Amino acid sequence: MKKEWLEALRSYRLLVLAIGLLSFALLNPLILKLMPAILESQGMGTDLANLMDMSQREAIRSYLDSLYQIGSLVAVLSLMGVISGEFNKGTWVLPLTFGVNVKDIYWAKLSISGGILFFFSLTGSLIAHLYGAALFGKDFASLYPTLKAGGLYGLYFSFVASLVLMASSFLKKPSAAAFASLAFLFLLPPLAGWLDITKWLPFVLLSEAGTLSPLPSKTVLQGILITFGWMAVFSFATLGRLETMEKAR
Amino acid sequence: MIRIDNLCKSYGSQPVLKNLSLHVRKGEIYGFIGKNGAGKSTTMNLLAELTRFDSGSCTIGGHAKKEGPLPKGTLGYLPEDPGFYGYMTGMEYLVFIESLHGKSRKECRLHALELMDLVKMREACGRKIEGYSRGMRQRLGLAAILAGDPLILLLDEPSSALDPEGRRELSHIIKSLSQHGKTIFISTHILDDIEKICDRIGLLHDGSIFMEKSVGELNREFLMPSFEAVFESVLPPQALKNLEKFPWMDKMEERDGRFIFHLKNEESARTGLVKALADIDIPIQSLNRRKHSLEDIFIRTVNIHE
Repeated sequence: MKKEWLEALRSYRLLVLAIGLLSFALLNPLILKLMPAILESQGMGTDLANLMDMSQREAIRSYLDSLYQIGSLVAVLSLMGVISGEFNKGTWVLPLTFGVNVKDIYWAKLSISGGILFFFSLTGSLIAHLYGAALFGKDFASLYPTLKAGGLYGLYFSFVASLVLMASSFLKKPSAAAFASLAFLFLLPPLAGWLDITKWLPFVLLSEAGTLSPLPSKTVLQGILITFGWMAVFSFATLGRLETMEKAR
Repeated sequence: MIRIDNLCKSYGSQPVLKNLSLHVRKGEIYGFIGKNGAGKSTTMNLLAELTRFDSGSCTIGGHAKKEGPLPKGTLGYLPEDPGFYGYMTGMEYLVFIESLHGKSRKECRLHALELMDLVKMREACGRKIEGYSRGMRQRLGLAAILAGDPLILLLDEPSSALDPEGRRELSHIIKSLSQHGKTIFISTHILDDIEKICDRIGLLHDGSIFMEKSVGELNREFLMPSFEAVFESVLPPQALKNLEKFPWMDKMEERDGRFIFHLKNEESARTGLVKALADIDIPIQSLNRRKHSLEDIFIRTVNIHE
């Protein structure tokens, strides 16, 4: 775990994820605030700006949208070589021959990656909440709806981490792992909508988070369980792959 | 300490190891040599449990592979080009490896410093590994595998990136480890190195051991008398033809202006060769008995086998 933390820190993965997941928490509320002035300067008048919802709620929602699109991309790109890198560079050979279990290596990677993504999602949501309140005034009586949304996004990104780690264990090229993961993340939602199976996928968490409702809907618990189920399936597949693969280059 | 019986391993339809069998005794330094692609690294990876074998059996330190993973502290494996976390310093890496053996942070640091001294890396221990040369990485790798004080050391081409001084130091370290009861299984293509330190040598060819002997036995069995002569001017072709006709002459070859005469019988060499060379009317600069290196024996035996 300590080694994984050091790796995230020294390889600038932590910094990239911080920028990728937190910067929009400051940028999106600010852009929303400046949008009327921008539109006016472009000669579009104030009519269009009047149609926009200029509120703390909208600022947080805008951040969550960016978090899904940009955050997923940043998360996938920064984690794409986490397992294949160990194989390609042979860095796990010495620890493995000292009796370190490949399962422990996987759980350490998932815990640190998932933990960092969860923390930044939660922190980003909190920043968007506070900054949105400062710019537009308070919409919410408490932090709870924002924290719930941030937490659900955090869980979703932990699922993303398990997906990328699985892809990285099956595909030796990091770019191939990234491509496969992004295809899964961005092509599956429309496909799931068409097949009407969205409720069986972790994307249901994002819909729930977007409501910013103070009350948990009946689908939240189901979404959380389904996400953990998917993570368990991916982890099982990854561990099976790691146990059976040739570990020498 | 290491017993391999009829081990087979294929990559796809390509067999790499074919009924490989060998036995390494406790405290022994066993040299494992063979051409590139003979299967040396595959054997090492199998012993280190990084690769699975198709059939056969393998026992390390009394622990059969089929019984599950080896107990901690049994084995230390240094691959030819060891991979490190480049963002760590040498010291951090050793402390990380030490910590895998359940030691306290203080113990880890103290032992890591001792190991850095052993491999002459103390001055570089605070630098990031990504800035290390290949030789420094091999030294660090050696220090790392000694961290757990394993009973058996697998060294795959450990001196391939070292300078002559580094190779000499490595030989001393290996000998010293052997004297402390470690069993060492070493593969290298620098035959001169293992000739000096190994107790026994196994020659791997075409996926199996076709010769396993002590260095002394190899020298005794394959010692063919040969002499090296340097002449002041070029030998006329007729003189060479005449030399070839002698019954005690096995083979002649010219390397960089030196003539090497491989003889069939040493007794005849002492009389016949010197006399025959003297009869050629060209002054001799030098005439020396050649010592057979392991490399000569290796090339000779592989050629016979092929």
